[in-house]
Amino acid sequence: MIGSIFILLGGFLFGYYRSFQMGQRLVQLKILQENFRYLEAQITYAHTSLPETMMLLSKKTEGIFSVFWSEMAKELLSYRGKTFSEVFRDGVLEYLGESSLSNGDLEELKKVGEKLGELDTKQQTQSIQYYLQELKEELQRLEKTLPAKKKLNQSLSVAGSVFLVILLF
Amino acid sequence: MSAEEILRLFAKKVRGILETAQMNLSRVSEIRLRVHAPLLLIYQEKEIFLDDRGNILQNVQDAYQVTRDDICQTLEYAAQYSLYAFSDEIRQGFLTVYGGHRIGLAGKVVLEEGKIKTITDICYINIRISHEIKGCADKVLPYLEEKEGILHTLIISPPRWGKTTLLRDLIRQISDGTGLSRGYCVGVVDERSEIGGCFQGEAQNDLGIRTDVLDCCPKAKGMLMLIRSMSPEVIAVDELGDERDIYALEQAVYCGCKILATVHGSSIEEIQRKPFFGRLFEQKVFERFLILKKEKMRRIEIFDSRGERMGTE
Repeated sequence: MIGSIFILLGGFLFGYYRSFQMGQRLVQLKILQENFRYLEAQITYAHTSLPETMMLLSKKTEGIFSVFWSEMAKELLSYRGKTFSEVFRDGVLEYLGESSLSNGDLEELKKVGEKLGELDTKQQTQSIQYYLQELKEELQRLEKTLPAKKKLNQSLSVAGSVFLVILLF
Repeated sequence: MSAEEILRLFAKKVRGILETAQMNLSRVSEIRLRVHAPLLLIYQEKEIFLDDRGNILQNVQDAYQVTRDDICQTLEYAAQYSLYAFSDEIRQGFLTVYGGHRIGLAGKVVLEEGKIKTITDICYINIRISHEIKGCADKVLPYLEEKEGILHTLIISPPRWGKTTLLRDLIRQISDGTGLSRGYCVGVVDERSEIGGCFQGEAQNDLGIRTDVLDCCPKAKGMLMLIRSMSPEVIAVDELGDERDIYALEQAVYCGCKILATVHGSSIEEIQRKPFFGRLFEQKVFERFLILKKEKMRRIEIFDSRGERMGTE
């Protein structure tokens, strides 16, 4: 009996955790959207260098993104012999690997990082705008489907745990 | 900027060579990187080469050969991975880094409608290390001031002979004031960030307590902007060149500002023959000329507005 209660509780918590993660992904994608808008403005209008912009971003954001941008800036300014895209790619894996962002989100982020720092401002702006457009579409899609997905996740987890309890009996 | 910070500008391989070389970086004035050519330094005013273990060589044969990767990496570091932020400077063939060091660039020039759009395929880099020598203007400063105040002064010198260093110290002393004279409000138009070595707008070199700096601003526009906004008593600019600079300088003079300026050359006559400069001489704008000489010893010759020698320091 106690075991059944634990299984049911575990199923409920797992469902809740999965829904929370989905919600967090939405929140984190929105933060990324804001961050890249700021980055674009800094590149286009202020011509601020990337490490400096990243330092500013680390102050403007909180949590994992603040750490990500600040560590990126520090790593860039340590000039260890890596290219920008290498530093960015490693930074995404190290500091955002444990975030709620999906593998696909991280891949897209690494891709946009390859275009940063070049001489041609226009090309970079276009890459960021393209990334922002993709983010916008992903966010719209998520916002539409998220409530249903969350509910489905929670119901399936609970149903799964009930099914397991029945099987055990 | 410390030696460590200067070294950080270089590609990993070149940095390693410079780190292991037994030399005093403060005595290096230039480091030249050219693709498939030896790593060359101007050390204590002499050319030296380094091999891949940092040994100082006098002959070229065993010197370390710079690669394209070294150039690209150095450029990336110097621009803090943000070449776009230096696009205007790159168009002019240089970029200035933290500490006021100037990095000259050469490569393939891209033109658009007859104007230089940018430089790509950069294969030649010349890192000129800025030196701040406080007190180098001590002996000439008394010649540049009369009861009415500071005199319009033109520093004449060939490249690399220290005219910016002299100008920098003059600005500092005029701004701070010396025991003999009061401090003046100085406006600096630092088109190439060489005078102040500004980083994020803040001068890295000591330019005195009454100095305002317009960083990365074209001289002609900057002089007029300063007059309108900061009411300087003295305006300082480096490397006067084209007609617009001369026009703005005249405007500044008519507004009652005193001028401290530098120009490339080796004599007053040579400067007089330069396009647009003749006008300044006809009007006797400059009251003092400081000519930098480098024969056996470095010296500064001081002339008045008539071109008569007042002294040598």
